[in-house]
Amino acid sequence: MENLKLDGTKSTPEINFDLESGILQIKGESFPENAAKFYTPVIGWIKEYLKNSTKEMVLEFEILYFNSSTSKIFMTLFDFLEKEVKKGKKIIVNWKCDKENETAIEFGEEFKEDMDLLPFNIVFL
Amino acid sequence: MKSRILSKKDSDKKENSLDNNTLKVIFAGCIAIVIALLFMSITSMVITNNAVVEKLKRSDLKNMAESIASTIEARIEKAVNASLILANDPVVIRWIQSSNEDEMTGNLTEDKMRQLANTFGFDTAFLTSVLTNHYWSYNNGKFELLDVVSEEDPNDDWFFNTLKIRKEYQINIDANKELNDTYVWINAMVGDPSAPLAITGVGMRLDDVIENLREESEDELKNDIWLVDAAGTIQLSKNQIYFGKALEDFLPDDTTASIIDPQKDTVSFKAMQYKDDEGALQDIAYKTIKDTDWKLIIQIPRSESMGFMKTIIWNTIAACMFIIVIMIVMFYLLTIKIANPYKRTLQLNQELEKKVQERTKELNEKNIKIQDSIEVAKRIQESILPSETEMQNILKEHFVIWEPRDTVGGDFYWVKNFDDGFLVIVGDCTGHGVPGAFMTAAVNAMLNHIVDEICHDDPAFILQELDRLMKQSFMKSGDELTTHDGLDAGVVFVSEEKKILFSGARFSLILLDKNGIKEIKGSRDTIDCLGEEEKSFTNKEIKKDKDVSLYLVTDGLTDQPGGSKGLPYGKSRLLSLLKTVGCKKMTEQRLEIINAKKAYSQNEMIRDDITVLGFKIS
Repeated sequence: MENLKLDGTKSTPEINFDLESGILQIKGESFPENAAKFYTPVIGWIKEYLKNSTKEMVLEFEILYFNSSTSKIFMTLFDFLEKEVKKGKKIIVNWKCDKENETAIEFGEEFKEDMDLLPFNIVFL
Repeated sequence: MKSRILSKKDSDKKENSLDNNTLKVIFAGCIAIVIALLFMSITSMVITNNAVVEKLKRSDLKNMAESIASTIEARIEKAVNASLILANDPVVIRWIQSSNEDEMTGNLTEDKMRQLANTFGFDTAFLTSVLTNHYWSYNNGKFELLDVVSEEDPNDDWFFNTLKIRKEYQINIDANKELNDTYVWINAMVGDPSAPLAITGVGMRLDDVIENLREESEDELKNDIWLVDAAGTIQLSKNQIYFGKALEDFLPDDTTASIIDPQKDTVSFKAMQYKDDEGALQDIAYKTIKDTDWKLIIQIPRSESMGFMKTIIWNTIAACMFIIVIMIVMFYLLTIKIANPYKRTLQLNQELEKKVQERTKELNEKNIKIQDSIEVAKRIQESILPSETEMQNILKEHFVIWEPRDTVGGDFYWVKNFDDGFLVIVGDCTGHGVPGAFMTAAVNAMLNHIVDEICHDDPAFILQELDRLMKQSFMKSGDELTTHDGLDAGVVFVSEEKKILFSGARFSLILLDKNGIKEIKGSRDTIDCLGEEEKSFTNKEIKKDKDVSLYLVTDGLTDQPGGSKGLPYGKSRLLSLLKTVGCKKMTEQRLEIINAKKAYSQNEMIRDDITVLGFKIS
């Protein structure tokens, strides 16, 4: 497996996954026309990583704006991660957002509420 | 097609100007080379010419003149020596003392004269006795008494004049017009010069000398040698036309004057130049022949002495032409080599530009096509949405902001009047643009079906039915990740019986009354085509009071980034905005909201479809 690195665009976030540290960073804005198409390889990569690695995985989200398709994909991803944690994987999600970004905070809170096992931290910048 | 022909012409023009530029560069380069070469050549020619003229005057001309002069002077000196030998011969003296009577000494004198004349090639030898005035001559092998000199005969003046001078010897140059000859006579005194016994000596023709020189130099320079007497008359010349003529007939006056000036010391050669009648430059060198008052003048036309310069000039010109041709060819080749890549870059650029233009045109055409089709789609979408009249009839006081991000979009609003009340729905289908619009059309049909066929007064049930129909209608073709088609929606039923029912699928109702502004949240569940389980939406009941304003707002507005930090607009901001503007007329509220949105988003692009529907319960 190789490190995953995607440069950010106007409508897609920058994605940086460092194998060694096990940190996946998703940073920027996310409103691609076809969100599923954009995130499929990223989620595939996460699945592949979790299959092969026993290391702790940290997902850091720092998303300023995301559309509803993206939020639905994130929800799916968190559901999957929850199952993985149940299987014994060590995963942490850090949801980073600006104190004033109530939309992001609200989403973060909702995601957190839905997760029983997955450690979901809302981190204010 | 027209534009293509034009652009072809344009490119031809460019190419021509390119070639012209190359030619101009080559031409300018060649001119520069030619000017440089000409300057160099002319400079070197002038320098060479001056140096050669200088050398000619300083040495060449003098050397030549010196050698001619020394030939003549050597002959004269030889004659002087021979004459002195004759004058100092005791036998000759004795014969004179015998008054030319003694036969033996007379014979010996004759032998002596013959010997001298034959050995040294003199034409004649003579002896004139003071005692007897007899003039004895040896000429053409004959020794005879030729004359008896007398003071009365002017032809004999030379004898008496020489005696008076009382010098050991004297040289006389005598032009004999009858013989057309010039003789040099050496008159040597016999005995003590103060009381001479006789004058003896030899005579020789100078034209022999000149003739020899003429033969020697015939093939060489067209020079001339003049012997000029003290009066300035040319007595001997290579060219007979000068014989007997005055020097001033041929030379400028000042030149003549300085040549024949007896005061001037001209022991060594002096060089001068003058222009003859034909304007040709002539160089002359002159000197006085030793021990005489005659002048030897050598004259050489400048064109002759400088003849070799012509060869040099022609050779230089030929070399210059050759170099120029070579330089031009080399320069041309170099320029072509240098100019070519530049030319090719330009051509490539032109080709690329043309391609870009073609592509842009294609793109524009396609864009127009798509835009046209979207315009039609917009008309269709707008015709699905309730008309303004319909809205007015049902909602009375109201406003709608419906701003799809891309002409058409996934946001919609829907109203319908019933006997027992009216239904207002605002929805936000996933996606925007054409895919969003597709969804709104489908949802519109479903809603019509539900309210007409199943139920119209229970918002929660309507949402539930919508969710069921979605799952039913949209085939689950992909996995959970790729199938996110669905919608968020808020449904409000305002009954005639003072009751308002609201249910939302990820959608809130904002209520503004005398108590202030309030958000009534809907369910966190959305309507989609995932999962089997039925969703439970609930109704929120609101007391129907007068002057209650209700707002249904999609997330396009609250999520729109802007402001100094680029953060989303947010719900608090929306609530405070509505609280501020809520008391105003509906049309004014609409404007205020649009302005607030514009002011907040500034230069940020609009991220999502935006819908705000507000109405007042009356």
